[in-house]
Amino acid sequence: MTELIPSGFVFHQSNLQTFLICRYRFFLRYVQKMPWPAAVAATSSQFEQDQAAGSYFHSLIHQHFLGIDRDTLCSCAQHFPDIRVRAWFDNFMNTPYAKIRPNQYPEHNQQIRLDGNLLLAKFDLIIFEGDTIQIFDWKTSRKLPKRQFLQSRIQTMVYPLVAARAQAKPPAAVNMLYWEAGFPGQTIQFNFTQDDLQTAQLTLASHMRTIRSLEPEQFEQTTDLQRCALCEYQSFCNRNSPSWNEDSYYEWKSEVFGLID
Amino acid sequence: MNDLLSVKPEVGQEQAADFVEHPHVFLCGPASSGKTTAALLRLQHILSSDLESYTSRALILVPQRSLAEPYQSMLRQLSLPVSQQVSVQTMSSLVRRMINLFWPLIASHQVFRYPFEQPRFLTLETAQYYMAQIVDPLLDRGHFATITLTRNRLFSQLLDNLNKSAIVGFPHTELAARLSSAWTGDQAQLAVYRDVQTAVSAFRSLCLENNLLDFSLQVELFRDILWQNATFQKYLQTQYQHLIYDNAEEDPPYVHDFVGSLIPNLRTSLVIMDEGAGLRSFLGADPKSAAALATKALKQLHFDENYVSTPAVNAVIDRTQSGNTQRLPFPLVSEALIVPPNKPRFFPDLLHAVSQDIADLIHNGTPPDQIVVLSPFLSDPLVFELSRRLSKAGIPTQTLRPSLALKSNPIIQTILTLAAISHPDWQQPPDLNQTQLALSSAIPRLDHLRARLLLESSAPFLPEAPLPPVDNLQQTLKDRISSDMLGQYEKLRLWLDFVDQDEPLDYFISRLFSELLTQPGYGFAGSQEAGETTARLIQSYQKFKSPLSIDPNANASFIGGEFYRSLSQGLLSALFLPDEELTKETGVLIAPVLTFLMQNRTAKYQFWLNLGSKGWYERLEQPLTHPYVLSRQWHQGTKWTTEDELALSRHNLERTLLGLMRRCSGQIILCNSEYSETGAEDKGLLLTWAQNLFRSAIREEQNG
Ligand code: SF4
Repeated sequence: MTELIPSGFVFHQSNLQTFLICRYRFFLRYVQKMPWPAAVAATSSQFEQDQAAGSYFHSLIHQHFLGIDRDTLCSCAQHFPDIRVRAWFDNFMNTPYAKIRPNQYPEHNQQIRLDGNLLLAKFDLIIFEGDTIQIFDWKTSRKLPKRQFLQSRIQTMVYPLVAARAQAKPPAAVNMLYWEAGFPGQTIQFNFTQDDLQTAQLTLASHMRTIRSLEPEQFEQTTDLQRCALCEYQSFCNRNSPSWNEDSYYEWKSEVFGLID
Repeated sequence: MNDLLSVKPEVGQEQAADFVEHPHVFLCGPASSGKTTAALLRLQHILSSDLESYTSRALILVPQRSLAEPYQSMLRQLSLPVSQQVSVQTMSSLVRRMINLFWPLIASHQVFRYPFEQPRFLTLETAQYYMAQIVDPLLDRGHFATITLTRNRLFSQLLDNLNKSAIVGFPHTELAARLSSAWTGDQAQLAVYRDVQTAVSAFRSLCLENNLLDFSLQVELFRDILWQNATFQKYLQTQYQHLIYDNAEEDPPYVHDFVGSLIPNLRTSLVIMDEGAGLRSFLGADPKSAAALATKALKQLHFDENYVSTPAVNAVIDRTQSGNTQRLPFPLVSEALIVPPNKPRFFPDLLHAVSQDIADLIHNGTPPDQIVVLSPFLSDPLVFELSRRLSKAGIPTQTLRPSLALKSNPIIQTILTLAAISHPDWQQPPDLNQTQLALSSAIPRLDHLRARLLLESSAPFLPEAPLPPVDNLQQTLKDRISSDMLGQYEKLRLWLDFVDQDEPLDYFISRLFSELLTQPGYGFAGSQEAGETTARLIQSYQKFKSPLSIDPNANASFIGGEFYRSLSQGLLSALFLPDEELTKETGVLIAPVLTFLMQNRTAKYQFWLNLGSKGWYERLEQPLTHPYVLSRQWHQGTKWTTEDELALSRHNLERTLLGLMRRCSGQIILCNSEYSETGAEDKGLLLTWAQNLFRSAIREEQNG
């Protein structure tokens, strides 16, 4: 019998977050790989613009770290149809994070094995300074997310854990900074102790074990209809669509970004 | 690390795999001689000992994604954290990604009219759409008058010319001169070449005006701007330290140029070339240019052994190599090649016999995926009939065809017809038949007859207002259709009536799907296939819309209408299917010969169909271009003659036969009927080859 989740299956923040939102969505999207038309609520030009602008902004920062000169990038930002991008890029270039340093890796993917499973992180930027690792994640939210909300995100566990465990020698400190392009002064930073990393490891390993242990029928539909608000499988699951809120939009957007990456 | 390669490697394979002792290797040999296995072994060594460093990376380069499967499969099975540091790419995917990433560098060269705006990448199909904008007015003015190609073949050959100039490396402005200088026939053709030049030059200008990047322009920008740029070079050098380049012979010269200049900056490289291949010559593949990469290697290896074919098939392989007139014993030939005792008169009878033989093989223990049915071209009836017969016998099949026609899918037809009804702005109303089919599909209980009566009951069918309101229907008809069916119909009609013409088509399709067609009683309710197909149609539209949507004059209604028009005219034919979905099924494979060869897989039993067809060796008729005259190996000014054409046919046949036999681990079944699939009595070179082989074997036996 073939395994439901093949041995080479790669876990990452996007699919683990999906699993926590709705096990059935995880099953349809990552196990069955079933394409489905987007939910009606997710078909709006605002969503499309947000995605395009966010993704272009990420490219500009990547290009900056690759060594392309600032003026050229500013000209590109100016010509992008969504005017927010130019402001975001200006904001970014005025932060200390724009500084080019040695040992920094933009748009860097790193994978570790955890409890026999592959776990992947896609860093917007990772910097190694001595025995400290600094992780950066650029965000383009319309509303500033709360610290508690980010703290509860799977991403806030996966990234520091992967960054730390991928090193031959355990780092002395791992920090992760969320920088919101529209709110440049209001960064949210998490500093992880060895205990935090250990907790993250146990939690993530437990999620992965659960996923591997489930039979198809145990990937149950969520009972929280709010979570179906922007899910593409609404019509498949016969779920009526309640209106979405900022949290469900944030979740959906980060899932979609994860898929694009 | 587990050793995935179960067979003990030969000495040559060990040498090729030893990246420390032999950092730069050029490996050459025929198909099935263990070259890719050696490369897998080398990759395994690199993964286990050299990707420990955080930044060390390997690039696996292949000409086509299907050829990457052994590498992908190994990476999946090994499931190592460092697998993430191996990038498997085709050159075209690499070029596109790099252009996107380094677009600001290109922008600063001011090649485009709006350099700092984003690039608009064209697929083959969207490029055809833009080519139509250039060529349609030319056709109206009488250009290309002597050419009888369909519009999309005309457009694709024009684009092909541009591609050839880019991948071979000469200015596109020389196309007409190069084609004309090799022409020996009617002088009227020279005017056609001038038209070709006018069209491609105008197309290039259109691209530069609008930031449109067809494949040819992508290659030129990569080669002429990015590749020359120090920032880009620095990036590449930090990006990759190891290279494995497999099937180099199937790539065009610009890839070899790129690889040749990359190698000196790499820690290790392995370039592999399949001797006697170059199957994609018509697409610009250039084995001679690939062979020149040998000079970049510190170690050259040659593998001779065929690890797949039986001794009998191997004997026929030797006999087939050019110039070999040796006679083989009859038992040996008939062990390699099976000629069924009864030759059916008609093609459907042949398919019946083939399915019977396949059923017997499976009954006797052959796994279905060890059987392939091959023909130079795969027609819909052939695939349908054979799959139907095999599935009736409980045998799974897998079909590999380059594209699936969007138009011919009933789910897509239904959606598009309903879209056309609700978008009068498009001015492309569906006809009575289309509307009737869409209605019956959307409301399954409304059968074809009732649907037709409904459409014609109140007045003659009017394409501009095809759906009459229920109130206008005659009472006699209302009596024949149940009230809940009429209710469903009216709901559909009203839904379509209230569509905002400016709503993007992808949103419209999503709403139509969720709000109506998947509701209880409608045709897509509970259908997984409908959901998947609709999602793919949406993806296909999004690909089409992406270059157009930046144009300020292109509103949603215009783009939707153009998509519909392009589909109706056959310009968009391919339903987007990710590669993994093409290969994930297992079963008896039914495939065109070339597609099978480019999968680089083996099979125990090969059934060859349409033996008399010239498709086994003749190149496609391409009056607007010429893959050989435009190749880097062509001496400019030389004429392309009938003898060249004949020599090419013989060369193609030999290459195909050797390629197939080297991938056969059992027997080949030569399947022929008196009348071919097209009803003709075809007698091509393949048939002659088989007859000669058997005749000489019989003579040998009589003499012996
Ligand atoms: S619609 Fe709701 S229940 Fe169904 S997969 Fe999506 S989130 Fe889960």
